[in-house]
Amino acid sequence: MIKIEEYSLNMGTFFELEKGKTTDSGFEFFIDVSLDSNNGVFRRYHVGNNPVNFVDPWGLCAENNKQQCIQNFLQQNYGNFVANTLVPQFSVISLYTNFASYVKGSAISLSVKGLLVGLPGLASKIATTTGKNLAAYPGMATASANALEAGAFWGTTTATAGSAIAVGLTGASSFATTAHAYAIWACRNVSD
Amino acid sequence: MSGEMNTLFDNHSTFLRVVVLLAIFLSGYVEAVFFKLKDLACVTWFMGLAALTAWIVYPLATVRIFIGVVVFVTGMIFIILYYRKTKSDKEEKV
Repeated sequence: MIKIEEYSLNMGTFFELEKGKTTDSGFEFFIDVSLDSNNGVFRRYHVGNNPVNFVDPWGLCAENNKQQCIQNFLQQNYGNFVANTLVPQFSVISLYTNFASYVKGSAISLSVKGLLVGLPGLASKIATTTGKNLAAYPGMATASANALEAGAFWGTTTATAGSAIAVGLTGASSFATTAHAYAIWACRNVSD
Repeated sequence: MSGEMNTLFDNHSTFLRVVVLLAIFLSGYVEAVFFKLKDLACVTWFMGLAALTAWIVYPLATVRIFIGVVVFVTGMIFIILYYRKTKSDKEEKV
């Protein structure tokens, strides 16, 4: 009797079948079949009906190429978030290796900067300019002082947000780039 | 949509990479000149410079590594000079 073990990669389930029994799993796509010679068990790894988005998420396939090796290495050592999001979007090496994700990361960076630096910076400019203009008119000294104070507040907010973003961006990008370079080095013997 | 984007990236990869790098350097310029955030601008330019260097260097080859190092060092010199000049300007004003 031959045993067949099936692993579902997108549902996280595991079930065991005996040869000749029908399966009601409804899965279509198998990415790997292997025979465990120790106990004569066949293992089939399938990806449900969505093979595009569930490409070997557990690193069960053989490492066929460098990109897959790098992906497996990052997933096993740093987890899914780093492998699927942080490295593709914020590693500077991704400009060459994974351009679409790098564009997405750059767009996120620019959006965050625009929101946290651009808007308060603009408010600071408007308030400061208004305060300076009001100072030229008699009787508007108080209003001018208030506007200048608001400008100073938004200026400080902008500077603080800018420093925080600089630290965060540098940290995230440095970590992602280092992890990416480490993965490339670890997979240096795997062919493209 | 994603497939169309990938096709676009594949067909115009060099041009689009240059556009993205220009956008990064330009955003650093806006941060430095408009918002007076020199620190953030230097970080932005450093990220762009590192990405440009990585693009030049990969796939690894001796000539590419040499050119990448020259570009990176030259860029870093400019960034450091700008950063130091900014700091000295601030001290003079004080």
